[in-house]
Amino acid sequence: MANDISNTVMRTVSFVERIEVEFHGNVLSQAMVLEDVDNDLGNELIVGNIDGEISIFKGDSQHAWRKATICGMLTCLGVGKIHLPKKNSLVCMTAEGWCHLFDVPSLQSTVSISGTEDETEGKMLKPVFSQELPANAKVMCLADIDSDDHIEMVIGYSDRVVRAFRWHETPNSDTGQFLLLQKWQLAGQIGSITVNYDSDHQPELMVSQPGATFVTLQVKPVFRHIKSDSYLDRLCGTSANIKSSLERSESFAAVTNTSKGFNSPRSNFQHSARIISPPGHQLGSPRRREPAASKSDILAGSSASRQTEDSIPTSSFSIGLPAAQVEQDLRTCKETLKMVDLNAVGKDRPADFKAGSSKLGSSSFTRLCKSESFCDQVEDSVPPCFTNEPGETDLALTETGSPGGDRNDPVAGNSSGAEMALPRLPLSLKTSLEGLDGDLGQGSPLRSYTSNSSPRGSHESGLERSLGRISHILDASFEDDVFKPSIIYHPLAQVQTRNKDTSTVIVGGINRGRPSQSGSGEDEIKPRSTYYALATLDGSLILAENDSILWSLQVDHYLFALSKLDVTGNGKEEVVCCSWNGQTYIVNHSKEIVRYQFPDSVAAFCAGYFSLQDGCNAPCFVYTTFNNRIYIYPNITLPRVESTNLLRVMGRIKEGREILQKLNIAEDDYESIRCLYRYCLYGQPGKR
Amino acid sequence: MTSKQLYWTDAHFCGLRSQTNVYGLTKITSHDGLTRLLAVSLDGHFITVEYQKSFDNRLIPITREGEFCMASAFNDPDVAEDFEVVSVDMFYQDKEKKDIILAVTYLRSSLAAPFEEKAYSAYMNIYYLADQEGAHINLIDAINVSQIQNLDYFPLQLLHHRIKMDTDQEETCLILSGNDNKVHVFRQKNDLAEFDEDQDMMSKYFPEFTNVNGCVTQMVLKSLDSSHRLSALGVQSGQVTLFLVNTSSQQIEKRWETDMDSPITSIQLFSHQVTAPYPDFLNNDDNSFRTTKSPEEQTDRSINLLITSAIDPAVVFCDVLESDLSKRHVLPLSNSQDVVLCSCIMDIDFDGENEILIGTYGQVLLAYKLTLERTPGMLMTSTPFPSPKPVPVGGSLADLPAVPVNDSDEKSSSEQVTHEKSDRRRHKSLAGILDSNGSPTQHEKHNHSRFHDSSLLSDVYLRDGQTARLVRSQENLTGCTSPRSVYFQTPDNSDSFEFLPHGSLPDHTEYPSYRLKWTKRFSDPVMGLTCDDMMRDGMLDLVVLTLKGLHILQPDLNEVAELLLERLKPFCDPTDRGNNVNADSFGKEDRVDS
Repeated sequence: MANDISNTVMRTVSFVERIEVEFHGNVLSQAMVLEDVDNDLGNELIVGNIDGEISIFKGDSQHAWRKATICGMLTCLGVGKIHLPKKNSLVCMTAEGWCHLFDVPSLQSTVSISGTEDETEGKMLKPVFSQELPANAKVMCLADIDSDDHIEMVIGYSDRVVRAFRWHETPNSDTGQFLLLQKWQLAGQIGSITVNYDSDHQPELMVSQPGATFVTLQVKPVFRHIKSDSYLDRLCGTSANIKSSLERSESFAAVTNTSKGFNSPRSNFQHSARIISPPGHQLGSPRRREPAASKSDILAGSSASRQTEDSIPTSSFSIGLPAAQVEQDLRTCKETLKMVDLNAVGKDRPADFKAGSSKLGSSSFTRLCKSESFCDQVEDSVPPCFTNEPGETDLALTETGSPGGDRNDPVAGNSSGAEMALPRLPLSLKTSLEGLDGDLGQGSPLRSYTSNSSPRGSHESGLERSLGRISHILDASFEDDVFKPSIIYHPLAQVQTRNKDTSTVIVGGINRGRPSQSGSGEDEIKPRSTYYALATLDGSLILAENDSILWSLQVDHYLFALSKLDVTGNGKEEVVCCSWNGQTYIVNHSKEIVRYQFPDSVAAFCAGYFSLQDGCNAPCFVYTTFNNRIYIYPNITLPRVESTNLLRVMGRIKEGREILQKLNIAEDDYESIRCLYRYCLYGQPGKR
Repeated sequence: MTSKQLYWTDAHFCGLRSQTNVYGLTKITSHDGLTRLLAVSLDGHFITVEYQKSFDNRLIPITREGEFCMASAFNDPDVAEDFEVVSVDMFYQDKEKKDIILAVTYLRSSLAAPFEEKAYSAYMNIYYLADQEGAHINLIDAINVSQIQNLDYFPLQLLHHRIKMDTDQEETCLILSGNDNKVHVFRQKNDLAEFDEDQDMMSKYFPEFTNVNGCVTQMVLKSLDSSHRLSALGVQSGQVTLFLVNTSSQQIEKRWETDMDSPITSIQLFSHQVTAPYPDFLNNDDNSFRTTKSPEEQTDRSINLLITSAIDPAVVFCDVLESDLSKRHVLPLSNSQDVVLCSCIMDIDFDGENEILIGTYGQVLLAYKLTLERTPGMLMTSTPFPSPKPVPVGGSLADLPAVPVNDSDEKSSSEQVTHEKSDRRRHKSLAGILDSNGSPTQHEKHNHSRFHDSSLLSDVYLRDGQTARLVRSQENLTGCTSPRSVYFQTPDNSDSFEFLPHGSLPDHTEYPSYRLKWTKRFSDPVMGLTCDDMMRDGMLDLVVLTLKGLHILQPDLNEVAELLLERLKPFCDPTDRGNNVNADSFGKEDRVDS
């Protein structure tokens, strides 16, 4: 009954204007989005049910503007610039693993809708692309997770796996495909995936875990910096057999590793041979720094990829090797790198150096994949309690990594070639589309390799160090990224939660608004880290920043849907949380709460912006009920979240305080102020 | 003088357990300005709402729920009883505002009886409560100091009025109208006694109640000065009688009568201008500002009468004391949103002039403003700022033409009744046209007594796209099985009004007249309206009782603060003050001219 007390003092509002539309079937919260799907700047509501029927509602129409039907159980919908630059597309994921892309043309290109048979045909959308991805997709997040200005598709699965995919356009064709970037195996069920931004405005991928906890998934630097298509080509082969390529890239990591033996010396030899061979090959390739070189880059890449493909079955460098073999391998590797270095130093040409390192990167990528799959294996096999603590192990790893960073300077001093390369390299951290950066990124698999493999054995730290040294030579500024663990567990509010298994949802990137103190221009440009919020089914709502809880709230409702939305229009995004029985909480950053009681049970809820007029978006709530109705509240703007009165509003205005001072009214003399205000507002007829 | 739009939005809302009725809202203001609202639902639950400061100095709305425990008041609590609360009233017993008296009337019958045989009996419970700061209205404790009054009639409106007795003592008495075509007055013989019906006193102090011809649904008593009272009684048949009573001699000085076609749902007696006392503490140096203002405050002594009835449009009779019921204004489209249930007088735009707010069963709140001349304007919709769909209304559209009735002053008072009847018919045809949503030729079918009328109506129909849309949206709501409670501009409507050139038709509206200024939709029928300073900041907040809950509405405080700063400046700067006064006086002259 504690809630009863809080209910008596909580502000409540009632929203009236709503659009009621009919939509049958069960709707999951993930399959309801408010986005601009037809690129007319105004948001639409896209809803899909588990039978695969998708409807797009636009404006104040009661009827679906566009419809689509897909096979399978639709679980996630997303809208983003996923495969066309600057053009939003609709992404649908089914539980069976099919991913469909829809391009929705805007209104201009279609005839007016008036309900005849032909036109209902015209309302149906056909997917422009379909691909089979791993099954059991549960949640999806379309976001740029590695600040490369490209949207990645991050999918959480009901089998506790998160995979990140990126659209890869097939060269010389209109189409493309999704390629696996990275995979993470988590310990607990995934509630939702979100992206939060740290103080440098770098995205952090957050996945909620049961019991009001979450993990942050680290995107490997390799993915962060690889831009050129050549890498992807190498990864998956050329444009032939697109369909199977994904499976290949999956099995690339998983199947080859498990089916083939690791320990063949021959493969080892081949492996190293392959590493050695490319520099010569690459030396002849044109300099990549020029933008025009991208084509040749692809060519070179494809040739290299063929090579990679050939070598895959045989080359199987693995972490599971005996120590001696690893050492040996290490030595080979080192030698290779030395060779590369020598190449670079000898020629005294950074381009060549890069070419070598890029080739090296590509080969080491295979190992990376294996190491990754190895990680997966390990994590699969160990009990969850172990995987629950990757943060600790990984933190330890970070410490072992730091000596490498310390040693960076002398090492860098040793290599003149590296020194020459150094001034150029730090640029790559942020602006990344130049060829230089691409090359650099291809160098980085080395680092990710080390970071992944290092915790497996003490002898490997030697490997890590040696490789780490090289990577530091390559790029001293990367040292932080290098040793970041791939999964960091945040036991945020675990202590507080009543039930450790309660399902949790998370939303990140909650905008804090402009800094209150308007400093110099530099301050304004400087981005601030965003807040993130968690809600649990047992009624906890938490706002946090950097693992510190800003506030938490306990309510007596089953909170199942969480969003962020700037309800007041002040630039700060409020946390919006909805419970199964329709109680909706809007909470601002200072824990002031407004409630709205939706008068029905809620099957799915989303908050966002919706457009009634073209291009004019307003804050909006959408509730899906269990009786085939969706209620869109197209404008739920509130003047403010907290309850306040004129005395307070005036008290916050400096001018208002000054006037009171001039009139000799004490600031706490409410009776007089009240009297004065009343006279000003009502006692002067004919004003205005 | 530009009128800025102020959007009133929910400051707070609290739901009721079950539905309420038009008599279900009452309020009380304590000696320190704390206003407490009490809304009662038919099943005997009630909520009280007040604003208080929390421990961390935030303003928080405090909602408490309680229940009238009528069952326990009777001897046999085992018998299941069916209650239906009819009306409620709450007031302070004494001037010191210590003891609260809460009166509630209700019907009760045995739940076991079948519906047809249900025999309801009526009661009134009166609770004597002590007012404690922030205390819950605890009726369980008050049960011992409660009084149960059997009523042999079905109760209707319950209100209280303070009268001056012969002995110069003041006394608050309860006034209850019943379906026995009588008005009953209850009073306490002394401070500690129970309330008893006092026939002698009623005939002595309330001569207007002695001869009521009908079941009184609404009554309003307004004290004008120390010796005069204006009373208005509206009955079910639609008759409204207005009395000017001399409270010293207890004689009816004047009596007016008008007739509507449907039951009277609300009556308001109000003055056009708002008055607020000049703060005394500003008088320290010079009184120039004050003196320029005071005559203005004194000028507006006229009392207007607003009558809303179930199906007719609401009517305002201006300055009833001087011009009797001759200055009649109809609130255009006030009957377009289902039955008008309640009304309230309030200055919603802070211009010192009262607006009329009308709540309808069609879930709409309509605000009317007296406009003296044709002005381009904008009809505010319920959509709060920043509106995704501002509804710009051109000059002609804003002027929702009212049916002019000012020509009625040509008629003698003996003709008044018949004239009003013809007026009424005209209103109905206006409503019919707007409701029918037919082609422009349709209105030709209506048979109008004067050419003037038909042209006016075509004007109304053709030029007021906005209001027609409002009406149609309402029709959609009732007719459609899957209603949408929001209605937005559709292309066919905008076409129709582009098609007509602006100002091509003569505007027959005679100014001054009331114009629709603002509308707001609610989720449920609006059952009650009142205004009070809930937040204790000097600004009146609007309280809206809907069928399912209680809303407290506030304008955007940032905009009000802006306005306030602007008006506060002259107090600080004497030079500004002079200019301001001049500007004011000019404005005044302009108004007189028009």
